[in-house]
Amino acid sequence: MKLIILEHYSQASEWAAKYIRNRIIQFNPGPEKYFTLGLPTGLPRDHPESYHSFMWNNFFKHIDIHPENTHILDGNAVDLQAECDAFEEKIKAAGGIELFVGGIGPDGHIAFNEPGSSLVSRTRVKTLAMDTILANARFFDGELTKVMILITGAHKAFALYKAIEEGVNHMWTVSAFQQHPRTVFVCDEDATLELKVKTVKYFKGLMLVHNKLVDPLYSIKEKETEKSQSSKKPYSD
Amino acid sequence: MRGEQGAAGARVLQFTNCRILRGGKLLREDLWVRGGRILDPEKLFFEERRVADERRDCGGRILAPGFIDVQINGGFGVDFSQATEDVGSGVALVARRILSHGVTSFCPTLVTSPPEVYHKVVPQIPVKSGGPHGAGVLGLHLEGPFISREKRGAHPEAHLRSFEADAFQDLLATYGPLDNVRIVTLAPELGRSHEVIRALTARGICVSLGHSVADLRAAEDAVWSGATFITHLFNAMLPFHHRDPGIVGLLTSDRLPAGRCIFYGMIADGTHTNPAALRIAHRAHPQGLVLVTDAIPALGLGNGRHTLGQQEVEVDGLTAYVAGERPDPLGPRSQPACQVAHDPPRACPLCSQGTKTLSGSIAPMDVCVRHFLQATGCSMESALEAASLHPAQLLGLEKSKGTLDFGADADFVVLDDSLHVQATYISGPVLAGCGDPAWCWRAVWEAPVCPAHPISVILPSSVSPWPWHTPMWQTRAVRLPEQLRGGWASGALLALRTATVGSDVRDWCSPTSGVIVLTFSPFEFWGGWLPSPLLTGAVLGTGGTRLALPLFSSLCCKAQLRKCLQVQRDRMVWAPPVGREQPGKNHLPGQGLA
Repeated sequence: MKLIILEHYSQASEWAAKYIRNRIIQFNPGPEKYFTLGLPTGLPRDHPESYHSFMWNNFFKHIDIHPENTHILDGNAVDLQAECDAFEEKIKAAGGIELFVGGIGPDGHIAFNEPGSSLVSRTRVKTLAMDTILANARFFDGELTKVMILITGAHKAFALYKAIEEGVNHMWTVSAFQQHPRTVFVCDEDATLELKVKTVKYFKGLMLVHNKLVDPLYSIKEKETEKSQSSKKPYSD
Repeated sequence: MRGEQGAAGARVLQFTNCRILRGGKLLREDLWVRGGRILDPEKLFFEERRVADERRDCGGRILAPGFIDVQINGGFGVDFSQATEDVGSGVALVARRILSHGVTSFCPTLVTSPPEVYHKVVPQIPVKSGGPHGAGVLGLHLEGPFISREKRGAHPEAHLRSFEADAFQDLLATYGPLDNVRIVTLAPELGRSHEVIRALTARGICVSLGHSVADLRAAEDAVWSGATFITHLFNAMLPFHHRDPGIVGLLTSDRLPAGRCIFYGMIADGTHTNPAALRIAHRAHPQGLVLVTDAIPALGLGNGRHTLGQQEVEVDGLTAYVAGERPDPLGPRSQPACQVAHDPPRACPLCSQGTKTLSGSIAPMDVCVRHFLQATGCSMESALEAASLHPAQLLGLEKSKGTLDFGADADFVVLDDSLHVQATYISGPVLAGCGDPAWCWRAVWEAPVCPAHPISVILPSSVSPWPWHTPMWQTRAVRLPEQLRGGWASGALLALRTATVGSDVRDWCSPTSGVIVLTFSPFEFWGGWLPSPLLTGAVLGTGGTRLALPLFSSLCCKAQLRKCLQVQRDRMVWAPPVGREQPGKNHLPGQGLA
């Protein structure tokens, strides 16, 4: 488990973005190996604050992703079980989860919409989170799946403390990722307020090593030339 | 006419790399269009799972709703108030030509005319959608004849009327059927005007107050009866007085019906209204300001005399005045001096030619928008909304026109940062059942843009007086750099020094600058191989970056150049000739762009 501590929200976001970028390029997506996105939601699609709107305005409209490759769970589907089954089928067909990105709620539950966790009822999130984690545990192949959890803000500090300094606990479901070998927690200074100084210093000291995940920053165009030249194994987590 | 948003199979266009005017702000967003309407991309993405069929890069430009001109009397030689046999083709001509000004919908305006003219002309101008053929006609604007005698302005006195006898029936008798009419301007102080206003409003016709000597009370009563517009504020009405603001006082009146917004037209051409007055009105009531051109048939033509309604007007620059009698060729001795003092001066056969009565404007809509922006110092969004959203709101069309919201008609203009029109888009009808729309999805008008490579060079024609010069100036556009290497054929022994011009010119030109005109004087001609300190040129900017090269104007007349290049006066940038540069004011090659 790696804890990446950056100073501000914007820097944490940038680090996370670079990490995702590197992971995507390393994944080497192509027509046969496509890059997809899967997310659950609770609000109706049309709602201006629904996850669909959020993802469209903040992500999809800025990139050239094909709508076919995005899969957003419909939390308002008539048959939720069938919806989840279909979602699982899609994950299986895509070859399992390569990278999982999420955040946590102030109560430690895994939330899938970082600023919107307040928009979805707590009960629903809890249900969804537990079911999702338990049901999809088989997709989280320890060696292959990478997990990145984003935690920013002072209101998440206690949850972060519970997540990494305490044991694995069903009340703080994100702590389950302590047992996952490829987890990265990205947070800003405010979120570390409840951690021991020892912990913070330890992980800050490791930043030099952890920054190799984002530096060098890969580029699709240069990847072609790099492939033939470099034989060095890139730093992996 | 226009296809439904959900028309399956219709092509989806995505305009990227642009700023669009939406919700009163310039947002860095893409504009999606399908079937002649603005499309919601989120719905397309999640529900239909589709991407755009075509992407257009707008080069960082501004996309604004197409301008709507609710007061335009004609243009390009066409006078809407003239009862010709083929009014329709005149309207079509104007509709096509104003596209280059960014106008996508307009209300042809008829000035005070005898009833025969109305009966003949009004039925010939139906409401029509815009398209590649021209801007859309939203309906007629009938300005007069029910206006005040004292404030008639350029309207002919002989044809003024009143409706005291039969109120609305009088109006119907004058105009004929009102199917094509959208706005009527009248003076509310005339007897029985309230009945008329109510009857017109009940028919969905917008009533406007103008050419009137009404006081504030009468104007407020008219608004209560249903009037919603003021025709060219400040002009042809009583001036603002602190104890009786007159019609101008409507802008800040607190006695209007709740929730009603009073709109007012302003001619922002720099002549009809002093910029200070423009600012006062804008600051008092910015949401109601509607930019109009009040353009006369002389719009787009040069200086000289032209016809407006039943009168003749004289054009001089960007202003137009009522023409007086032609001067007697024998001179002033044979003409008795006019004994009557005119206050304000008006057309009088005894006065010397010309008057000071303004007679409509010849400033195109985009010039008005730029002038308005510069005079009031308002935001770009305000200026653009004043020309698009507010007229749409006045006519109750804000759901489909004057806006780039989802579902609105896809009528928009592409502007650069200085609000010069680069392209105008109007969606046309989609043929039912046809997968690909029949109309060509390109801009209905595009400004001549000069990319950095190659550069268009236009040489003006002129006849050289010098005997050893073969007058071989050709008016043609040539493409650099091939043409600049070496000389021109056609028997000319002229050649340009590519060392001084070729590579440097490429450095000067930017994607937004327009055309480079190269000329040179005969003094330097010795086979063209000598260095040419008199090398001249002018660059016509179409956008933000303007270059100015030294211009030697002895041989090439500015008017000639303008004519052969067919660009508008305000688009040309001139620099002082070489040798008379002032420090810091010239841009010689290599010294950077303007």
